[in-house]
Amino acid sequence: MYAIITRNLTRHFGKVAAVEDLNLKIPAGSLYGLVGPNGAGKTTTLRMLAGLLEPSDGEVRINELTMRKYWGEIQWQIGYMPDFFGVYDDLLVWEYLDFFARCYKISPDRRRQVINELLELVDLTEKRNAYVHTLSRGMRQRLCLAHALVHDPQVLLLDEPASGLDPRARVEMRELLRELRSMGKTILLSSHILSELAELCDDIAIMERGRLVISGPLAEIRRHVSEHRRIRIQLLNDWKLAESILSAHPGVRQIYPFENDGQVRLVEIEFNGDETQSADLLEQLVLHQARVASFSEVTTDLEEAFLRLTKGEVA
Amino acid sequence: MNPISRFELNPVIVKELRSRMRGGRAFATLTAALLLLVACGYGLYRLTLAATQYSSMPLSPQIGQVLFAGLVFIELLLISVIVPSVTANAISSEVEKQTYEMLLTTPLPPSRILWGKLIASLGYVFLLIFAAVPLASIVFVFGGVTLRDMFKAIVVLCISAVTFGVIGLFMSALFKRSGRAVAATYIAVLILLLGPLVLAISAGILRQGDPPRWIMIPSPISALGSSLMPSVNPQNLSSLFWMLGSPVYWVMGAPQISLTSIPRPIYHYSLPLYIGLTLILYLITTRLVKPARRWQISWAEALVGFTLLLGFVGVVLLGYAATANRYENIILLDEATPTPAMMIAPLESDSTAPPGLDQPYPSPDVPTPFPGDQYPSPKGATSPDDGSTSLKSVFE
Repeated sequence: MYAIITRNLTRHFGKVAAVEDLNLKIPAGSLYGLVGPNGAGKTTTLRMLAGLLEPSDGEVRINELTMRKYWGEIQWQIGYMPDFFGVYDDLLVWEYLDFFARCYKISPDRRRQVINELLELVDLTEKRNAYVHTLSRGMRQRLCLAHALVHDPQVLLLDEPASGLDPRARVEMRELLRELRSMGKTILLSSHILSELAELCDDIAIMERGRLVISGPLAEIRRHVSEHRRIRIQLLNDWKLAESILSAHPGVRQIYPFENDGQVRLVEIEFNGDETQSADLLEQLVLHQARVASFSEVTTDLEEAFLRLTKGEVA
Repeated sequence: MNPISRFELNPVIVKELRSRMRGGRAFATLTAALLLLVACGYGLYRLTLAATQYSSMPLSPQIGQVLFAGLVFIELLLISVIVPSVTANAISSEVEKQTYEMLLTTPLPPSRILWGKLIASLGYVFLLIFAAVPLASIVFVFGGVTLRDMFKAIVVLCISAVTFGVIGLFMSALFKRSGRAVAATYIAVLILLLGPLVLAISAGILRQGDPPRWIMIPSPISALGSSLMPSVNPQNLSSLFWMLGSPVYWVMGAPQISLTSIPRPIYHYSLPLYIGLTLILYLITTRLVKPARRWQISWAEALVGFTLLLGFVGVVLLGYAATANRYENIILLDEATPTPAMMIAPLESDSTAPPGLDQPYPSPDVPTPFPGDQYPSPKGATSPDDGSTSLKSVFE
């Protein structure tokens, strides 16, 4: 069961294609991250999913309902939090939520209960009677998230929910999203910072220039990215011996020796192979009397993978 | 769900009133407007006293009429200043504050958003109008104005306010920027207020005579002026409108008045025009506030809009038809003014007597008959004159 399916989703602004042939399948109940540099088309995609933009072409299905035909029903099932949002200055926090609860036709007695629950969820209970404009950025972000939850939607579309937050607020937001997922909601969130999503998401899609670069479960993407692993080897004796072994090995594609005082003590290799193959390589080195002080994989973090995949074309 | 809780106020109204009416701003504006009205009212009172100082003391009704006319016109001025400022940023401020998209993702239809904005902003303006009613009631102390006059003036003011408000909302949804929307609304309101009068004055100068009255229909000023007309004497307002003297006369009743009918006052045309304009602008604006699929109008929506407009036109035409025998049309003036019936009667003369038979002079001893008895009888059958009858019988 997929919560969101897009098929050849396309949106043009004049001659510029903001999103082109986007095919996404987002499983129900998952935390799905949409990553890409600024201008990759993440916001456009989310706005189309929230019904604020008409796609130039393609189809959107939310909970198996086509957007074009069943927008009336879909509206009740999605909650949207825009990347830039304002708050009504002259309202109190509870009035702000009350307004959106009224928009979703929640009955008065239920409304009070929902507002209290939401304020507790986003940890704003003691700010209940404060003016919205006195809230800090992180609090506003949480309040905005709370407004998207007023009608208990199954699908949440969050555009850059953690942008502009300090580390503590970021951690709090992450906890909040985990809690929401445990409630069984499907959450699609976008970010231009991959590491932010890596700690949180089950699946990730990387976009660039309106196109999907890669998508799938996080582990799969990590593997795809780390096809060219880097291994760092620290040697204590003769470099020439090690070099001959390394260059003879079929998995080694590139050798980067680091010279220090005319001697090579440190070498990095680009290695193509899984863990057993790298263990084989180490075994060979040791068998040929090379004294290896350390043999470790340089962890390619996702950030690097991201840069490599997106080629920095937009930035 | 019980039926009482199913009725819910438009959320936008609740929100707008909560944020608009809180704090001192709304209160301060209302107080300032009322103080302005008080000051102007007192000024007009002194002015009326001063203007007639060397001829005679003004009659109390004269003061009442000047005060009344002055107050309602100042209120029109207040409305045309305040309404654009409260409605022209209704939609655009949501866009600027980046709250509009969150509002649009809710199932609240754009037409209800618009309706809520209109009611909330006009509610404040209506508060302003009705808060001034007790103040304007001071004219009843002086007299010269009836309750009906005040009612008509308030209706004209309210409908003008609604029209200005819808113009503001339309501009707001069209431009999506408060600055531009407010400027455009003020320009539109100014054109509506003064444009027709300027045109009328120019036409009057060019023709060296009275301009056609229909030119002044779109202006709320002439609508308000004409609504005062039957009881307020324009002569009394000369001190008030010394600069716009002749337009006031044109507005208030220039054409010749026949004995059977009076010219239909300008506001009879202005108010339907405003309501029609309001309806059309409102229908267009409901499309403008939609985020996507703006001009894809479903059959149901088209039908509702069409029925609304058709119904409105029908009601207006029915209204004209119902009052047709009381008023003369000022637009269709090509028909000759009908002559009153009592002047038509004494047309028949002695020419109806048989040819060759001159009526003889009555004999001196018979008193001269009363003309009313004689003229309507073509054959002289009912004539009391015995002499003529005997003559006729002799010939036969």
